[in-house]
Amino acid sequence: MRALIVDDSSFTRKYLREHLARLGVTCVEAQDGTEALEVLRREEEFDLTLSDVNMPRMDGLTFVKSLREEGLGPAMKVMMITTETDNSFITRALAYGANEFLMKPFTSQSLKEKLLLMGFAGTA
Amino acid sequence: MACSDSDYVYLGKLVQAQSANVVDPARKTLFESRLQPLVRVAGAANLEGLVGLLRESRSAPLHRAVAEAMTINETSFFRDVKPFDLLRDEVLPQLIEQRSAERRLRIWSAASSTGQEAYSLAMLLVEHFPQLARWDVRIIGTDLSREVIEYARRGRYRRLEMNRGLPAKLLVKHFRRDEDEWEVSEGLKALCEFEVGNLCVPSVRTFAFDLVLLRNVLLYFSKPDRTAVFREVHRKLSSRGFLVLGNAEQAEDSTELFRAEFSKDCYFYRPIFDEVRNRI
Ligand SMILES: C[S@@+](CC[C@H](N)C(=O)[O-])C[C@H]1O[C@@H](n2cnc3c(N)ncnc32)[C@H](O)[C@@H]1O
Repeated sequence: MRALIVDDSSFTRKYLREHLARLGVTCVEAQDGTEALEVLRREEEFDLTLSDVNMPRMDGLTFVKSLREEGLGPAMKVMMITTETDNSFITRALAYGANEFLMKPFTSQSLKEKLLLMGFAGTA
Repeated sequence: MACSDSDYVYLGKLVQAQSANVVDPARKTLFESRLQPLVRVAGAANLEGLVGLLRESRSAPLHRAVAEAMTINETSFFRDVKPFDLLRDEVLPQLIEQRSAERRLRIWSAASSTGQEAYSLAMLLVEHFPQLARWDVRIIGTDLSREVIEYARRGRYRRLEMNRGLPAKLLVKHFRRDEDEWEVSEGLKALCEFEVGNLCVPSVRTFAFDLVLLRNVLLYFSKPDRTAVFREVHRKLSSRGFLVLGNAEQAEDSTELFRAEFSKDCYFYRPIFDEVRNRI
């Protein structure tokens, strides 16, 4: 299984990468939405994207909206990982094509459980 | 002065007598950390002092409080996911068919902890079986610990709990955010009720439950206590009802009152009646 991690914080990217590695997931990283779109346009083989929301250049909501509009990896699941927790925000993210959402800070257990929810059974 | 080994053995026995939970007396730091708040409440100087009070008093509330403090309340929404798929795709359609004349469903979340299991069931019903809106449906959560029962009744969860197992689309639909907590909708609360109850103390309640979720609690019990709980659950289950255990639990090693079935990658149990019952 392959995942794309999109976050401007190298600390968060490392944290996610290490946790996912333990679950047997291979990760590619991008620092913002713009870079992530470039990665996705180059190689489409991702099962999952984990994206932050507040990032320079292109934020996470614009990113998920764009990738869905461009039809990049149509079967790919997208989970937003963010400190934004308003219902209105989550609703918007889902409408733009995100599948799940995890609030910061989170535990590795909650990450596993979200992966299970999205149908990645072997990872839990 | 610290507690002696025999004090820990005493605590272990007390907990098992009160709640059937087997806690190894060697887990001293576990006893210490869990019972620390109680040491203060009871006015003891330290754990040894608390043990002294426990030994000399027959004070049931204090003994109970020790057992409650030693419970493991770990839970999450839609825990393990698969059992809920099983309920949605197999169990509930059958139950709804069976009960279509009475239009009544009784579900028991036994050892409900802080209520996530009961509210997950409620969401499952509301999302996938809208016809039940006109039925008499009750989800009853029970737990030994008064603290978790009060928590479940309040139906307010923190970020850490909201992050665990709850699909985003159900979060926005069934929870309202209030500062740093999220409150379950009135609609879900109306389906659920919570009450304190010890699985080892047969209750007088005469409900025939259609579905019992008894998950992640019997693994802490001894075999004879598991057998006794299965007998009680069997008594409370309707003849065509269903029992679902936790991922790591099975009934076969401690009871003959249930037969296992397997579907959707998940085990579940049906009660056996008649000849088997007469034998036991
Ligand atoms: C690990 S939690 C499981 C919660 C939930 N069923 C789940 O699977 O997520 C176990 C719960 O069982 C409760 N419990 C332990 N012994 C009990 C007893 N004798 N009677 C009733 N509840 C008990 C504990 O208080 C705790 O909340």
